[in-house]
Amino acid sequence: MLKIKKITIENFRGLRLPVTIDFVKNNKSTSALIYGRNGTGKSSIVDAWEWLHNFYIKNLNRDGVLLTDLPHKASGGINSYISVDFQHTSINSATATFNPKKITTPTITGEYNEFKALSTYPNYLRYTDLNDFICNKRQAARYEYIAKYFGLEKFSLLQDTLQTTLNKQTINLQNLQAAFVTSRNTINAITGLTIVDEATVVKFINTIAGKHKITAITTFKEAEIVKTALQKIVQKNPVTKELIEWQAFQKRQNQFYPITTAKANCIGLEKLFADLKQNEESIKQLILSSLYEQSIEVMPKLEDKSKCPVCDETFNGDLLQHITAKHNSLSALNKKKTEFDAKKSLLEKQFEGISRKIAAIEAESSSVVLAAFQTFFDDLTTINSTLPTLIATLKKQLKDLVTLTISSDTAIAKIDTIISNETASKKLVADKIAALSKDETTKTLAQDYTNISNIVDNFKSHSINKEKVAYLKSITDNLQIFFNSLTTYIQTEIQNTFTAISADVVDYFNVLENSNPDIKNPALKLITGKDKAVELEIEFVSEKITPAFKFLSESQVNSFGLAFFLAAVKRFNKDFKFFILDDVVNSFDSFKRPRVAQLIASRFSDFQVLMVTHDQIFFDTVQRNFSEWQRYKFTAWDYATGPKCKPSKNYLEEIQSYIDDDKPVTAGQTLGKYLEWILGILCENTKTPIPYRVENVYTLSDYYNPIAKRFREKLKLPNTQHKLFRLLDEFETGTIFRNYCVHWKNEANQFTTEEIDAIFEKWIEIEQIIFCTSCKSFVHYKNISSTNYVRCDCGTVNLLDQTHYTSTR
Amino acid sequence: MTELKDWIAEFKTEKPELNDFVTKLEGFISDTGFNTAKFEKAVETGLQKKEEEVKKTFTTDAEN
Repeated sequence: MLKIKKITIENFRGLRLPVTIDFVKNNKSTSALIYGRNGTGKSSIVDAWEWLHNFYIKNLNRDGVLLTDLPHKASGGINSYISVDFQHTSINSATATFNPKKITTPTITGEYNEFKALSTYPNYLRYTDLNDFICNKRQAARYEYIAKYFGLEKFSLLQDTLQTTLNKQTINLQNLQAAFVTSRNTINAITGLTIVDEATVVKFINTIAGKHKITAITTFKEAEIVKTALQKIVQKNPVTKELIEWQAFQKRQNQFYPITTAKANCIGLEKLFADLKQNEESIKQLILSSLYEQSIEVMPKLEDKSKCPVCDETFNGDLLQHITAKHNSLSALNKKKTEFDAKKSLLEKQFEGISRKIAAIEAESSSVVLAAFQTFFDDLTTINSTLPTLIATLKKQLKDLVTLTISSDTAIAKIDTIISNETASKKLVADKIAALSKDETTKTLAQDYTNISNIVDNFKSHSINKEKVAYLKSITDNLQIFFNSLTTYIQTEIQNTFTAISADVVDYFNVLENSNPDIKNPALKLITGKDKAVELEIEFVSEKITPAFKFLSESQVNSFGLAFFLAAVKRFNKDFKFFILDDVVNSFDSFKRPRVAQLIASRFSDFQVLMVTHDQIFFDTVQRNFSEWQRYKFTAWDYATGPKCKPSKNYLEEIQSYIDDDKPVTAGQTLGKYLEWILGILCENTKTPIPYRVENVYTLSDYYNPIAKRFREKLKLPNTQHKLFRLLDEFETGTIFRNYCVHWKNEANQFTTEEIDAIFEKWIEIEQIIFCTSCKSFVHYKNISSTNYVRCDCGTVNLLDQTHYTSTR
Repeated sequence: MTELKDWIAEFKTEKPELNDFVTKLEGFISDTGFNTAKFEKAVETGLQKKEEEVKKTFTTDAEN
């Protein structure tokens, strides 16, 4: 089994000087706990761990952090590494060092590849990962989370990018098919037939060729010969030539019109611009609007509702109300800004449309048309000269616009002129065509030439598109088969894996949720017809509920997210039992946090864990429960050196150390804080009522006396004495403890080291029988079917067991 | 755990008729997903090639 001895990281993200996390204590392999406030560099350790495995850090990558940003800035990319030392028969170490010459490929040393072969599945979970699972409303995001922790991240990533490609190529294919159909329909309209093939087209061309005494052709390759010959005949007949040119222009003219006026939209936009610019300062505040919006959404989910989620400062008063008021005050302005953006975008699209229409008509080569429509083409040139500038202006953001004067631009007036001339222009062209079509021979020749030109061009387009469609269809069909097969594989793997680990998921969920008997049998359901959608189904009071996320509380979803991760960790990486939890307890209600520690103690005792937290109480809980772990405090951080890191003591070690150093006052005060905490847990566990104090100031006696009484009531058996009773009696003996209970917070009341030591020792004796070292829980009281239970979570410590009693007869 | 490359190899065995296609596709697949841009460029080149081929059939004899 691969075990970690130590992890060393230097010059990576926020870590400058080498930071070493030991996983050996007293020559025994163990786990590690890191506590530090936000910004002390804790998460850099998890980042380095992910980078060691993948050579990139996904969530940082998503946020635009480049690989070049990973080494500590002051290091210049030199000597930036993570190194892991192992206890194993053949794997001694694995190191990845940042390679400034090839940033995507770090230099790997030691038995890196052998280590990677044992650490294939993701074994780290961040608060943000769990939060994504819980808060993200997209089903696809949950699918990705599950795929990742089931070891299918690369498959899911491929599925994702393939889907994008497939969508794009499908649209591409549809466009080609549409062009193919258009050319086919045009040919059909010319021939009057429904078949489009070379023989039909050649036959049609030959019919026209025959009419004009042009040699017949046998293949389409010769079509241009007929077209050229006919063109020569047309050239000899100026009236026909002109008629053809007018007919061609008429076609382009009909595609050019209608054009919609832009003036009204321009004036409307300028008015909105003027209004918004009058409130320039407020506009700057609009940036805050989206932050306010997100804060309003996220605040009800926060535990501490007085701390601003944007600036992290504490607010005196109702923060949610305050932010909502701020948001509302900007909503009118926001509405106007949204309207401005929409109008701006509409106008931009309109100008781009006009630009495209001009490009299609302006390349006129007929001298007769150019002469007759000189003003029209001059106007197009004028519009073209400023339209790109206007489009560029409209692409700018409001904040970057100093002035906005579009409506007075010459192009706008010219567009209106062209619009007002539409009817007259069209009439002019129609009259010209009518006048030139009076002679039947001329008309027929023009028609024949137009038909030959069109059928030749369209058959070429038809042939090209036919080949392109066949080529692209083959690719998209094959890609679709590949994609479908990949999707089926992922979905089957997800379902199979979930089935295999579902018992563990339920078990862990129950530990975290304290065995809620009404919630059971979670199952994953893949949504039919959707490639990346998965829903959780849950059985609630014998009824199947889907989606469970709508039904479960946020805290229960949290528990599921963590249960998924831990169950996957347990199932995979069987030769490397290790995982990292980075601040995940943050997602849990405070009363549930100790259960995370209990879960690890009871189900993952054979694992090495790296627990990172910024929660002081959770840190104390884990320190207390896992005294054998290595424990570190990141007390501060600075740019030049990185985190200030020091080994940490738990309460019991700290108290003992003060007693050893003959510091009774500090020892007494630390013991008081500790007893206050533990007695609180015991009162909760045993459902012990305590006196209510309106001033909210409690002495230790307020907790201790009711709990001692409770134990005596619930453990009392006739003619016997419980061992705990004796210990409680000894603990309470004399006045020292009673005095201590009332006065421990008062530094003026001096207790001797011996007195504190006596209280401490007695309490440790009590703890030894009411705390389970296996599941790391204190005993709790339960009454099930009129039977009393006073036992720990796993049942190892059972205070109603006969072994705790001695006969008094 | 099945590696992506192993799955692709298995897919080729199950669908031998797609062997050539998948072999070409593998050139665009890496651990970070599917190289969409490179693939699109390759498809565009393929389409362009098809167009050139068809265009040749229109003009060869005519030019001669």
